[in-house]
Amino acid sequence: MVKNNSKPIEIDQLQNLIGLIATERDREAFSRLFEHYAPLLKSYSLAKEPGAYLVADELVQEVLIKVWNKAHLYDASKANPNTWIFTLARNCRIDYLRRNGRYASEVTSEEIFDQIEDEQSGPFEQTLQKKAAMQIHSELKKLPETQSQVLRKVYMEGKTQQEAAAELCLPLGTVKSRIRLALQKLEIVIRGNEK
Amino acid sequence: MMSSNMIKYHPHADRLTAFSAGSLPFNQALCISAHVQHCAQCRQDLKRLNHVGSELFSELPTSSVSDTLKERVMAQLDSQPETEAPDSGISKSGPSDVPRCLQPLIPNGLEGLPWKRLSPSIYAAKLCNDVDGSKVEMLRIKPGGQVAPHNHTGEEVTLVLQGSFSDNSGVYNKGDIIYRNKEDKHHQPIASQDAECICLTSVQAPIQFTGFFARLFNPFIRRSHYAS
Ligand SMILES: [Zn+2]
Repeated sequence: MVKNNSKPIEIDQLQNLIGLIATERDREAFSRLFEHYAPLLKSYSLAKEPGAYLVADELVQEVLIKVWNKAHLYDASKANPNTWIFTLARNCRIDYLRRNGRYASEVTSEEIFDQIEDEQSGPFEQTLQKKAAMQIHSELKKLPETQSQVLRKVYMEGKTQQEAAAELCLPLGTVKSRIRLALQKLEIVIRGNEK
Repeated sequence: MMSSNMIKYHPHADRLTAFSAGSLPFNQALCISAHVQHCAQCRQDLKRLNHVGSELFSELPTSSVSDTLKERVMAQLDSQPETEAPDSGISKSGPSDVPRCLQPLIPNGLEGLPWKRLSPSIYAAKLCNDVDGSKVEMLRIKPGGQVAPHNHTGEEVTLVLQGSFSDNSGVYNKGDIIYRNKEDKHHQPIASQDAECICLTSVQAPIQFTGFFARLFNPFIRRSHYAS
């Protein structure tokens, strides 16, 4: 079994490992990154399709091969390693579902997300983003369970708001308002001006 | 990136959240992606939202991974290309009037779409159908052209790509994203007088037309959801 490392790897260590893969094609670094992320990736993909073990392995494999191939594109000033891996995993999961008929279109997740996420922020915005990341890190744990449960359904299980509402036996409006309350507490300021 | 000074209408926080989570229906994700390309505010919000995904991800309970999976992945490293060319992102430019996420669907630019005339002032071109029955299309409304009054049985998302239009609740310019559902009665968009209006629209389920003439036109309208 791949060990679920008992001592947590720090963010900057993870960054170094990605750097070593990028510059040295370092397999030892890749191996350590595999041990850290594969157990998380497997949970992430299992969360969507319960019992689909083969799918989970496939997704773990696909994401980590992407890490090997894209390590030189990783930019620590734009995203910490967890955020980078999360977006890779999210995109792989979307494309997996597309290939398997849930969505019908030639557009890939990269075309939907990349141009948005690749944008280089200025130093001021980078500082704001770092502060926001710290705020989210510390406040997420303090959210009431009713709010974090909805966020987990949407982010980790990939449920639509309607699906989350049905599973939790809640009106859709309640799911939406829990998400909005959570975002307020996390200080993710969104000026919703939807019409 | 285009200026976002003019943008007044953004997706609500919970929709942007679902977009960041990757759990939004595909047709809606397309519309938000095209909006976000024009909108610096939403791009910043989205980066914050990705941190939420990142934190939840790193807190997941771990699952056990077999050694054979690790061996399989390690063995594949040899057969990978040396390094991928630096990301082509921006250099891979398609037609400049088309948002990046729509380029695979509009390879020859807006002019190259198979526009179908629905009325003297409205043309539509279908981009894709999703397996859930939703439909994404482009609408082209001549200056001053009017879309028949209609109610919505399903949710409709509209993103203005060029020009502007108005309805009884506001004026919408380039980059604005507008959501309409069954509570919005007799929604009747009109393009501004000075320019043609081009919109991306996605409809969850067929719209019910309410006007008498619209009903007469119904079999004809069914090809698109809009006409006048
Ligand atoms: Zn916006």
